[in-house]
Amino acid sequence: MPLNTLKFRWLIRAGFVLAIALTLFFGVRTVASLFYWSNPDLVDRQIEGWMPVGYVGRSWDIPRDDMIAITGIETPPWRGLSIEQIAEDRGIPLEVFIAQLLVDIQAYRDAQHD
Amino acid sequence: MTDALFALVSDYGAAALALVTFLSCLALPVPSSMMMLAAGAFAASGDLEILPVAAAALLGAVLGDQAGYQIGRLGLSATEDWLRKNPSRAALIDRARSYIQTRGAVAVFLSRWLFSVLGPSVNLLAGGMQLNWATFTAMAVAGECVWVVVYVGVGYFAGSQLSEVTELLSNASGLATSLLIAIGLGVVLWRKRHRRI
Repeated sequence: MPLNTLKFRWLIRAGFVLAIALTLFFGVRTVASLFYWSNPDLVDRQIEGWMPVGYVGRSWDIPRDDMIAITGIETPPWRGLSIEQIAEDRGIPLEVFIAQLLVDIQAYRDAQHD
Repeated sequence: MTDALFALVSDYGAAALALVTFLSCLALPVPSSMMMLAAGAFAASGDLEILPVAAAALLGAVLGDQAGYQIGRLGLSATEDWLRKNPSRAALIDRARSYIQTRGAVAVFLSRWLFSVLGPSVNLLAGGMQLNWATFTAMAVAGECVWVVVYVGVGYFAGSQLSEVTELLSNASGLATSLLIAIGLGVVLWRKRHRRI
């Protein structure tokens, strides 16, 4: 379609409006994410299946080695093992394993405060 | 969905990154940036080694860019004669070609990391419009290096707030790209404002 037809110009206008709308959409979401991120109280501390062991430890301020001990894995091969994989290897449901971990983590933290 | 992606990174590490970055350069809707953030975060928590993973991601991306470029080149040489039958299309192709050959390098570089949604299209265009291969490769590799370092780096410092940071970055990236498109189209409209049909 030739570049100067009315139809083409209308198409560009529509595209422009859409781009502006998307810019506003992403702009609002970016600001919202920034706000959420900078507010530590809102940070989610739930354990998810995809999280590897060290990452869970980091969320809860537990040193890596202690975290490995809490999950009860033998030393090798533990690198990068996700919570879900550990649960699967042991044949227990993920939710059960996570619930147990939360209990063990709390026990660990209580022991630290003594 | 993001959960499944993070799981892929923790379970398959470097291999997953290489595959995903390769596919993302071919316009497949795989969220490679998110997985790079995860890789950075997991490296920081000691769950994976960052160098092999970063190298794999870079390699996948570079190969993906090259593939896109070649596809663009082949695609255009196969269809160019047919496309040129229409004179205004032929003129458009010539204009695009000269524009890409003079200014395409920066577009390639920036579309690797800043406007990454546009990356795959830029690969096809660069190949089709015959941007100099050495220039393309140099800009693509440089841009991909920036991309890997920035995303893995941000992931690394995201600490345990990976989900939040991922969301923030994908919104910011959407913002940058739609703003760019809005500005580009706005400029076109402004320039054509006095033209009569």
